[in-house]
Amino acid sequence: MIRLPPLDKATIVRVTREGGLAYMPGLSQPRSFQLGDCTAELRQQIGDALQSAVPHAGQAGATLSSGDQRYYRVEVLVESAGEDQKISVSFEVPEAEAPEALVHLWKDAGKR
Amino acid sequence: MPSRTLQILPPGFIPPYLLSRLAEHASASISARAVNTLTIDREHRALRGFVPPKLASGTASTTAARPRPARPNSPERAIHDAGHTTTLPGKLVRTEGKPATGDITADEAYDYLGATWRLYHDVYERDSIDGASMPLTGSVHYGKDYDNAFWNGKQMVFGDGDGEVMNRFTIAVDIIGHELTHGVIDHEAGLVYQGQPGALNESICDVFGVLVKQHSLRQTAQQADWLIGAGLFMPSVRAKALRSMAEPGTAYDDPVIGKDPQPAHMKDFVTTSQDNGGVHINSGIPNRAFYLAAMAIGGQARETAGRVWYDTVCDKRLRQDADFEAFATLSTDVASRRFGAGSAVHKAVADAWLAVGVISP
Repeated sequence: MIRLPPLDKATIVRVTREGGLAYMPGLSQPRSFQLGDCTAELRQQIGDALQSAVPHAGQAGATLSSGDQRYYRVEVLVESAGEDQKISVSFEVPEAEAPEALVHLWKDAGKR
Repeated sequence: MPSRTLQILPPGFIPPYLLSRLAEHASASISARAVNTLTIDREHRALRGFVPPKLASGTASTTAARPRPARPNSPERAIHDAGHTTTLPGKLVRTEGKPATGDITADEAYDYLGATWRLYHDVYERDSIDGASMPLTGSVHYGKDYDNAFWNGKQMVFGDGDGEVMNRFTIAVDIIGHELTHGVIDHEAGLVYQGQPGALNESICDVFGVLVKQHSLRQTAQQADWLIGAGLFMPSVRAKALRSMAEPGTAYDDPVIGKDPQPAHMKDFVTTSQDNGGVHINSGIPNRAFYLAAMAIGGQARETAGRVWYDTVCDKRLRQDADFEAFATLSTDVASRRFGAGSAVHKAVADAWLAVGVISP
């Protein structure tokens, strides 16, 4: 069972959808969640989305997205209070395998 | 090991155990060293298996794998209807030689798969994607309002578009030629889909995409529009196509989809972690090189510059990780060997790579 970093230790979660037949900046719709500003409900959504996405994490680049297939890219920025060092981890999920929670996070979550 | 602080890691693959490890250490001081010592080793989830690069130049290495089916000089097409789901391939709606279905999307897919097969067969003596009569399978009506088309290693898949920004993805023959060429590259050079080799991969797909269109319409280089995806955008979008090989960076400029980010010259090369390192962005540079070579030569580009590009893709010297300069050098050599040192084709190819800044004077 995967345990993700406690979200109060992560500062930012970014989700983008990339790949496809062309790169169109206006359609990538990057989502960036400043976790400190999120409601408990949204943080829960983000945590659920990450948990559901991790089992589908695939290798970037050479094979995952070839042939114009789309994929979701997830980045988690983690830091500790008082520490200078921060770590950015990222993984990618093929569109065809993306769980609904991740798609929802990218598309709708937190929008008013 | 150097620490990684505040930087966005290059497109990479962070397996579950790394996240687990982060979880274990999240409450303690987080060490970049700890991350850097973790290696990434996980089973690929890609749909296609690894296809090794060919072992010899030309297509001979791939032509003996399968006996020719019953129809010589013909593709073997199968069009499926995914029924607006993401289940592939979907319901079979048309097979080789059968009459039109009346569904314009299915019939375009059938016709344009045929057009792509004909370019490779008629001009490059290649029988299908693998050079060995591989059946051509396409699925239409994929997903709901799906704004993409792709090659998944086994077949082509076409969305209907959302009807607001994008039209159906079968509308442009060059898109189908583009997608099918991904399969050809997989069976030949196997250019990795990242950074410069990835941009070469994309560019080569665009090259043969436009050549499918030019062959189908019997156009010369001067008569062609050199656009990828003309007609794909709905009229309300300020876009003429997905990409322009003649003028990279000018295909669209619209409030919704943004501005075409393609450079036309190495001085404007885009370094980015997005888009697999800019594979659809920097492909503008080799795209323009091909356009310049074809226009300088004149006539039917598929017979001259197209032949050089095809031979280069099939040349055993082309590495999977080839960068622009490697492709430029090899294609210039190929042009010299096939058309003669100092020939118009040789000179045009060499000049084109110079003009886009890939080769220095």
